[in-house]
Amino acid sequence: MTPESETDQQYNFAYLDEQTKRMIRRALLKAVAIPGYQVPFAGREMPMPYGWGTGGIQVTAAILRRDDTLKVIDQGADDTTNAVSIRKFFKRVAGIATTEKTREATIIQTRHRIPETPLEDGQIIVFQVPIPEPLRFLEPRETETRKMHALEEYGLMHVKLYEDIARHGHIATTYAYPVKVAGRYIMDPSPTPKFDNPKMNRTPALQLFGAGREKRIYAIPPYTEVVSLDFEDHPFEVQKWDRPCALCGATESFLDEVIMDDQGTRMFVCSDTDHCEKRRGEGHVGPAQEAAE
Amino acid sequence: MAVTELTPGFSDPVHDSANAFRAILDAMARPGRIVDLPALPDPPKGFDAAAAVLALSLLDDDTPVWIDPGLRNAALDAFLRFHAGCPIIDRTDLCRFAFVGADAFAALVEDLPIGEPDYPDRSATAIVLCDGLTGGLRRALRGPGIQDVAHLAPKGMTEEGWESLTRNQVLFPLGIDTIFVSQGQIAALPRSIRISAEEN
Repeated sequence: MTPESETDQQYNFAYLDEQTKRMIRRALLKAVAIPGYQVPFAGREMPMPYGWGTGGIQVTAAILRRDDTLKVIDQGADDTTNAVSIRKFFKRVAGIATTEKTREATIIQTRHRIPETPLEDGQIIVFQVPIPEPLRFLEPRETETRKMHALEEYGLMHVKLYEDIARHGHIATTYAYPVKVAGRYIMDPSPTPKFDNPKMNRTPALQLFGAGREKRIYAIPPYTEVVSLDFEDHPFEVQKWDRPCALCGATESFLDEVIMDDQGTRMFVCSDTDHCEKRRGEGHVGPAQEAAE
Repeated sequence: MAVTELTPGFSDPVHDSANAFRAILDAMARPGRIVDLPALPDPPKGFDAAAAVLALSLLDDDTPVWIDPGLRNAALDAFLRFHAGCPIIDRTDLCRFAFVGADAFAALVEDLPIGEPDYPDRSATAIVLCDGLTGGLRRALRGPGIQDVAHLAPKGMTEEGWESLTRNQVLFPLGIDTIFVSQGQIAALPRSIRISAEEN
């Protein structure tokens, strides 16, 4: 915990005022009770632009306790601008402990990845969501998409996936891949790569989603069935790479392609920096390290 | 009413309600699990300490509350009005939260708002005051938040009470959410949970 003197005492604990927190907390309880359904909430202006995770930050601020340990990742990395800023923000306004280790965190706020280390009972993962409505690009009217969810009228979504197959020969959606939660609502898992969709299924952790600009909150309780939409003859598949992580040699993790120079040299490394560092600490070595030695 | 009848709220409102909410969220995310609430203030006469914590951490002027006439008294009204500032109303169909004794619960369930097809979140949360969260009529629970099967047996819940909750589940995604409270502990039963009488 940060000493009181380093915490910004001009703001309420975790920035938001108590009435706002109560409003978000009530929305969270309804979101958990109706898995996958988007609960409207009175999203506040936050001291950062939309798109920087204002929804996730409001959810985190509403659930945060003084004794929590917060981890923030952006595309899997703990050391990118968005992650560093949000971590610093909560350190300043709440004085909580932060960590980069998935296992040590009680709350993980994430933009576009789920850590490779399996989450545990008692952990909460908060997703930053830009566009919460999975049907939005198929039907722009909110009144209509609400009705489609109410009537469980999801044919259009299957048509979209079918058009992918007709055009490309396979389902070409690679991120924000739609899922069905607890056999009822179709949900946007936020723009995580579809590689992470199987991690959402029956995880022991509680998953919360906050969309700041669109002012929606939704949730997946622990041990809840999350199924990625597919067809019998075109089953859901995750991305695979034909090489291991250049630094730690992992073959099972999500890899980022990094351009090394203007000659077209490229390197594939784990997008989850904590996972990669942990493996290297355990003595795992990838092709790039081997070449350097 | 004398000022002395007003019982205190949280001693540290910001952190006490944050800690209480995480316990409530934990209960709602893991139906049937009995969760201890931290920081229990002295409740108003005849009211339950856990119910008082729910009121202090979730209610404000946006949440009309209905109170079972069997529980209602001047001390409770004063407690809710002063600490939460919530409207106390007589119409069950307009409330967002309802405090009810386990014996009167069955008759209430069908009168509470269940939300609208486009907005199922516009529904009530019933807070049921029990004599204990174990030792009553036992039911098996299955659904989101439960790994395999969970059990719940709040003391005071009647056959009719369980039946009305079973009918409530059929309405999913509409329906009410229920939180059972007793002596500093809570257990939640959201509408998504399937209830059955068999023991395995």
